[in-house]
Amino acid sequence: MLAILAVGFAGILVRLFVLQVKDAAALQRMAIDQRIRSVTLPAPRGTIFDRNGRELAMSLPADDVYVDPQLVRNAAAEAPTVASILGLKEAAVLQLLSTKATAGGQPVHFAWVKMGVDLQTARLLASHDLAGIGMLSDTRRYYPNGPLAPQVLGVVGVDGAGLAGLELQYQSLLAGKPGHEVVQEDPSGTLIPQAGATHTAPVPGDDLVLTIDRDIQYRAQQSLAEAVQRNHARSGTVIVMNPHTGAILAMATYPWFDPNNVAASNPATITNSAVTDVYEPGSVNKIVTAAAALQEGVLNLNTRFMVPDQVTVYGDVIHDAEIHPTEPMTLADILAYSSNIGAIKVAALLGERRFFNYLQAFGYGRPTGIDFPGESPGILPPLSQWSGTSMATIPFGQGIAVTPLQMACVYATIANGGVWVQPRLVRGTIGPDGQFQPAPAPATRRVVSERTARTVAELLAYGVDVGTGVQAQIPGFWVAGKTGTAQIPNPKGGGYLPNVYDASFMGFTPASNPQIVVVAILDRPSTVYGGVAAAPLFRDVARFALAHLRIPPASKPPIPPHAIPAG
Amino acid sequence: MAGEATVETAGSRPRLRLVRPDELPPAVQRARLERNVRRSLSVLAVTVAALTVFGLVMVLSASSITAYTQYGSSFVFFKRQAIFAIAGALAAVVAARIDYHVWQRLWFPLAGVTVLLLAMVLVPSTGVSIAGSSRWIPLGPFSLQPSELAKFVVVAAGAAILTRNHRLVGEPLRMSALLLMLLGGMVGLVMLQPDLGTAMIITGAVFVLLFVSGISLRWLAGAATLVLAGGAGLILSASYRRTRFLAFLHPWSDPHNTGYQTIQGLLALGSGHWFGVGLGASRAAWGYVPNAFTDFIYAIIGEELGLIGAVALLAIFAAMVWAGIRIAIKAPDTYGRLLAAGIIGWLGLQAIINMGTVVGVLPITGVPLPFVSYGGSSLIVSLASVGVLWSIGRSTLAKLTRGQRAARGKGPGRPRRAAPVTAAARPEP
Repeated sequence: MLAILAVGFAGILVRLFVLQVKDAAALQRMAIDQRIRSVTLPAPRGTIFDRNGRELAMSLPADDVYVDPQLVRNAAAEAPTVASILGLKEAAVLQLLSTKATAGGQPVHFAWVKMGVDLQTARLLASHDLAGIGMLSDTRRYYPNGPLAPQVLGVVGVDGAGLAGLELQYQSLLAGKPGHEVVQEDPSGTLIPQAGATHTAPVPGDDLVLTIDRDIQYRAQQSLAEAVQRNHARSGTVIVMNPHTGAILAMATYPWFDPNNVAASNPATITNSAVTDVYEPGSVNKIVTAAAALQEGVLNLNTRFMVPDQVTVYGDVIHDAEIHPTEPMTLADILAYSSNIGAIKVAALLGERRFFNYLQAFGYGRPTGIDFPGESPGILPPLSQWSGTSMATIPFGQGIAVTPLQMACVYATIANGGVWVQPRLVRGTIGPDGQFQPAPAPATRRVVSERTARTVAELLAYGVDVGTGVQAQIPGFWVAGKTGTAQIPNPKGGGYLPNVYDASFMGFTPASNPQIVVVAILDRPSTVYGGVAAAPLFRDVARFALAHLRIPPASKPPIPPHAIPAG
Repeated sequence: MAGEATVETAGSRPRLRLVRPDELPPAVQRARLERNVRRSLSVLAVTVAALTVFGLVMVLSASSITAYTQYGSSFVFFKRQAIFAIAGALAAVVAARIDYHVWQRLWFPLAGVTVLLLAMVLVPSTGVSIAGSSRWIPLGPFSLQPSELAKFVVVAAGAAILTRNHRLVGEPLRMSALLLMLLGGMVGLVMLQPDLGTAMIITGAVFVLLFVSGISLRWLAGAATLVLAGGAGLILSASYRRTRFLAFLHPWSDPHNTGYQTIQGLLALGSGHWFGVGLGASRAAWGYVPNAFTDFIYAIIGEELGLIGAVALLAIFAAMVWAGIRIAIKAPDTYGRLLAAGIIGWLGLQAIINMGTVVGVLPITGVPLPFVSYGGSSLIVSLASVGVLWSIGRSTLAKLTRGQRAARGKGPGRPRRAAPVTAAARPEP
């Protein structure tokens, strides 16, 4: 008996040594492994400010609502409450709450019901004390101005990562670095305090300061929406740009969406088509033709062209917008009255190659390099693919495709004394230290001489004074601009859609010392002519921007003699 | 001193007797015996007191989290265990003061009451069922676990039966028949709960009794083989029982189910390493180790106090068993010897089975660690039984004193010179 007891005690002693000394490290490792849990501490996403430091996008504390279906006692009773509070479909919620096992038979212990629920709603839901419904702290992206430049700002996904727009472009900058807390938990998930924890603090994301001006953007959107509706247009685009710095002050695309309720929006409206979509520019392209001809000296302002109202090129009849007798026109007349035939004649003096080179120099066929995802380069067919009719259409902006932004840059080049400036949306960033870090200076390149640019500006101003752009006039300011009415290519291929047009007006002001470039485009307005449809939109936006930017009125200088039309 | 003749004073005339060369003078022998018994009693008292107090501390440490989450106070189980400890201490004092022969006389009614209680447990209206086992009878704010009482009663009754049948020692079956019937009845009732651990301990204690009774070892070995084979057959016959019972051999093959408790015990012990994570700092007690403050409290002790603490506890148990065995050996009569051996055998066996289970060398059968694990019935019955052990040791001393007095008072008048105590005056071994 003694022996049995002695053997028992000795056996336990040996076994204790094995467990607590020999295998201790391995066992301890396993014990820790089953208790340890790494909690990700989300880094606060950076705020997006407008150029004056007003919030455009910010992250707010929010709750993610989840369900443990195993704990739900009465799914049918809970589902309507959850659905009505969270604004979800009752059937979907019931499905979530009552799915206790996967198709493979594994029990389901966790499913998201809705993420990013604002705290007030979450508190209301919590007050119902529903079995199985739980919440986790999170942040929610909030756009305090509602649908203000939503396509520019973009959207974030349920995980808080940028999916489109600047939220995507600057994802890594805005996101920061999530921290980690490694804790030990009991089987039910309660923290074991004496086990300690390692804590890596999250690094908050940088803030973004945009070039967008909230007020100009707001006014641009208001005017755009009004213009689209008044003209029964399908959609529209407005860009306001500083021609010297490339800063985009406003970039509006109608229709837009509510960034605070992306789920309910039409996905097509999320695209920032000012940057990502192309269209055929039409007559607004004539300034490239004019600037190239002046720069190359193939004509002077007194050169007169005999311009009929239609020509036939390789069997295609090309005509001016209005019927007119064959008459002599200067370059100023061609621009002011937007003569297509005149533009063809001017381009013919340049020749294909030189004309093509200028198109390239103005930025056609390549992305501007703006800091925005998914920018389209536009379509400029290489010279080798030019057909016999290319020189008969491209001079007045058909047969090529551009983004509205590219057109804004073309007008900015003229406004900036002939130097093309890379456009940009971000002025700078604010790091965790709170210091403003300006964005690198934009790329620039000279396209035409300052003198050419000034001359083109004067010609454009003349067009606003007496030509197609009279509706763009702003009292007290000298406006330079050009109307455009473009045919829309048939997306099914082959020719153009009948009886529908893009109407646009593009220009800058004050013409003597340009401060803003404004591009206004309406897609398929009921009034087809750019001057009628888009010029008032240009005027509204430009006038507000001038006032908002406190640009003093400048009286109109006398129109130079060479700009006076021959009549 | 060797070969010296001594003068015997027993009877009226002195007699000469040869003394063996290594034999000590009777007075020296008696003094040595007395010292031994006193020392054993001291060791018994100190070890049991230490175990009980240590148990209270560890119950607090291991139960506070469960108590807090279930009742909102960390001290719920500790306070109850403290009450049990006080009640147990009182019971021990009472048992120590009662002549242990009372158990010899009362064994039959005791066994009857116990059988009745064991039967009551099985009746749904009077018994409480927890986790599939019906082991408790509610008793106001507490509950009684009759199987704990059965351990003592079987030992007391078995010792009584074997003492009465002692002259039949040559006929093992006749001598032990009644005891085996009693054992069979008790084990049967306990297994109906089901409570395999208690059944094992009761059976083990009975074998200790049979062994100490001087029964033929060959017969005992045969009986043991028979019982083991029967038990094994019973356990291994049903596959679910076999799986659960044998899970300790390969716990990692089913770590989340049958192997879970064994593995969690091992992880807790391993986490303790040499010196432990510190008292009250157990992580395993946060719901990882099942029965952390009852059957598996040794795992928490090993985790919080490390190898040092675990071995210290083992040593205290060993010292207690050692002291108990010495009390049994020196017991003044057959019943005392059997009773003491049965009690210490049961407590020692239970401790070994419990610790052996936690360290993963024995199957999980649900046995508390005596004096340490939470549980009123176990603690009170164990402490009372130690009281009985104490009374056996005390009566050894009393008999020594009585014998001395008798030896002094026997002769006509005072002896002229101090005479050594006679062998005849010594108590019957």
